Amino acid sequence: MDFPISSVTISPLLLAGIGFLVGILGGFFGVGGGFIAGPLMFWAGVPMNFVVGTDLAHMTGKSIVAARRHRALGHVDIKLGLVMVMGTVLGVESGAQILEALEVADVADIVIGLVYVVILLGISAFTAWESLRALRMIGNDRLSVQDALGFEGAARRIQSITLPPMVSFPASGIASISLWIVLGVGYLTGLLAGALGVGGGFIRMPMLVYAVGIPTHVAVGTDLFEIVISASFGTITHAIKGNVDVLMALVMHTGAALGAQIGAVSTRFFAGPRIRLLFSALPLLGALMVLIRLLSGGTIHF
Amino acid sequence: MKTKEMHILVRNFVIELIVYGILVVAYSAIVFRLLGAPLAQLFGSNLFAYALISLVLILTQGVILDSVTSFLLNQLHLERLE
Repeated sequence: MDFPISSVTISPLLLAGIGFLVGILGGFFGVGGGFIAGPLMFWAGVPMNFVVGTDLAHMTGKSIVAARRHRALGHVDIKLGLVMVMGTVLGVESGAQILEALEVADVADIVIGLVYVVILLGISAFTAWESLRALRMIGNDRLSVQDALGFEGAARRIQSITLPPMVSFPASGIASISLWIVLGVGYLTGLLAGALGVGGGFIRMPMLVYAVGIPTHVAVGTDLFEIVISASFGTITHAIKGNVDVLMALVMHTGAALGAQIGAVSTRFFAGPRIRLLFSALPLLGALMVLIRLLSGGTIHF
Repeated sequence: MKTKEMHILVRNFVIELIVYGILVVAYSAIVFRLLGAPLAQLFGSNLFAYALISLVLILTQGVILDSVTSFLLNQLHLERLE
């Protein structure tokens, strides 16, 4: 089927299928799933600028529902979310400007593609290492499943940085932390959202847990709250730049809405470190899809 | 995983998949027929209006699809595991 906005011919069933798969994975792992949707769309033949904008648009529709549910459960730290969003919005705009500059230079596919591969491989390696470490600690009865977090020392060190102004987030159990760290987390994830078309959850959620020291369930809820805002802003700014095919986004979202429910239900049957270990395979898959497209499309050749 | 929970999970999945499949095909056809040309025209003429309408459309669809899912589950008397 021809999508008139992006001038791309692609099966709507394939798009709904990508949305469905991403919905399952996103619902299961508590992230938006953009880091896997982007590579899949790119692999399916969508130009990188439309991948970025359209992915953000589809994610907006998906995360609004999940964020509402987490809000009802009390898993959203509104104060943290609102502070972090200031950095996020700046980051999204910076990322969108970078993408536009790369488009003008006609190197968006190769640069964004390779950045995807590097980031995805890094996340995969780190998550696998951390979850295996946590599982070993559980095996040695040093920690309970709920408390197993293989990287808690980093959070303590980061919270000990006293660069003013200091802020507190009682809902997240943070007595005092430098405002700049929270803004920095927001900016970095916003930058990734704006440049790569991801919600940033795959990097913000681990950063909130590992670096800032927020409980996992609050990190997931607050992350989704952030995704709604950053993805909404990203949708607007990318649509104005002509990077959003909303018809594609609507079709993808129909599949994602169903998949997200299946994924969320499935989390009941796995413990935290096991979920993170399973999660580590996903970025590898995404990196592989991007590499295949770059190689088969002639963007990279030896 | 308990057998009963697995049974409920699989049953809900199959029923939702069938109902959703029918709805999605019908919905996509309607959306393309009604919105395809006007949105493409707006994309070519006024990107700011297109951006706002895109955001409203995707947010509205998000909330409506979630409501439809809940309604279907209630009407079909399916037990939710969430």
